[in-house]
Amino acid sequence: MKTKLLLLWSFILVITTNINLQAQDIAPAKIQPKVMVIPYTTSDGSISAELEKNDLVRLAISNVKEAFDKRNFPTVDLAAKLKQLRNDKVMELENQTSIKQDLIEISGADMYIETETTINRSGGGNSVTVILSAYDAFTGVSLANKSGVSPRFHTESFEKLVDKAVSEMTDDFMNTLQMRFEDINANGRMLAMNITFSEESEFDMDYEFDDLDMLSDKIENWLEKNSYGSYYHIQGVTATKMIVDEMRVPLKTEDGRNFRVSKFVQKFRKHLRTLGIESSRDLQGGRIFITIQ
Amino acid sequence: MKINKVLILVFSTMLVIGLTNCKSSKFTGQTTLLKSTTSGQLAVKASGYGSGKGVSVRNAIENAFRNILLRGIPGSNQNTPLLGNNSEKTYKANKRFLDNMLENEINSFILEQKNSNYNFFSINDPSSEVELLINLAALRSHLEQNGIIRGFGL
Repeated sequence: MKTKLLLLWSFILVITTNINLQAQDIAPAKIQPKVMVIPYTTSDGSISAELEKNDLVRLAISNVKEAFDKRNFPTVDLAAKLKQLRNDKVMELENQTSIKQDLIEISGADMYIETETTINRSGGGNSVTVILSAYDAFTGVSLANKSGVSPRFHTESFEKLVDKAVSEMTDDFMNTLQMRFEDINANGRMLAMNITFSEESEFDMDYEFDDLDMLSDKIENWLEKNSYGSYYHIQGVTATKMIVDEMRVPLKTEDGRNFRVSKFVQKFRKHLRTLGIESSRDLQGGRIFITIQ
Repeated sequence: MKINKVLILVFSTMLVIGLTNCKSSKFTGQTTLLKSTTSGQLAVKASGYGSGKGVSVRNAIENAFRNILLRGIPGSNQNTPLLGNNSEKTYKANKRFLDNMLENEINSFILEQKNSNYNFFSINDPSSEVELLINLAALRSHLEQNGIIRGFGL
């Protein structure tokens, strides 16, 4: 009897262990955001020129990337991306600001960190100011900001001052970013959506349905129901355009899989179809473009 | 008479054991930034309470770590709680692990330690001050590896 019980107990133990192991195998890993560290440029400045001529900003970028590496979080390499894009027509564009935007879009980065260094000279010694600003690449929402000033020294070795300033501020900067990640885990990730109309479309945002709801009302009702925690923000609505500059979607679906933006868009387009509206879509990471036909 | 002697001996032994093992559990926020350090390190000065040097120094070290875990050190590169936004909740959820860590493991995260002289005025005043250089990166990594805090990222 005792032997039978022991065998039964062992059998149950083996089964439950296997179930646990299988569950661990099945659980999909969370898709981590891609981060790119770029130099700060003025509206008429070029990223690649800034990177090539400014040794200090290169060093600061390297230090920030190192801080990410220390936390086991790889970053997209800007220099490599620039080399990859060097012959691309994007690099021939006149408008430098659009180059920055295009670079961010083409790199597939979900977040970018602007790095700025300034040299401060004075009779009491020289110092360096470093400013780090993290942004969501799709919504432009600021995620973390940190500025640091190195101590003053009578030196022209600004590299050491940058090294010291960045080293003292990265932990705090990373902690702020981690708090943002915790917020995203709890409240969902951010998406942006632009809804426009094709030239031949018979619809516009003011199109009125039988229940006297306008198309914009129908869309807003859908967003309210389908955004995570009903969190969405409409930047503006005109007859021809609706800009949703921020809406939240969960990181995981109810059955534990990674939430797919394409499925979210598919659901939205199906909703439009129930209203008798055909549409097309473009996706760029977390940015959605819907064109109503 | 003999029984009395035995009782006195037992009582004295217990008293000595009790006094040597007693530890102050007074938790205060008296932990300040000592100096700026490079990434991954934290230099703090903490005050400790207790009726003996060993006890008060131990209390100061525990206070320093508790403040890092639960409150963060203002002005430092860890000015937010290491246990995250809901530090109190996280602490309660992992009390056994963290209490054990504070009692037995924190010495392995101390890179440098400097104790002040012991000055006992009253139980309401700190009797020791301890300067510590803490291996913050290792502490964070230890908490991450044991599932107490999330790793960096989503």
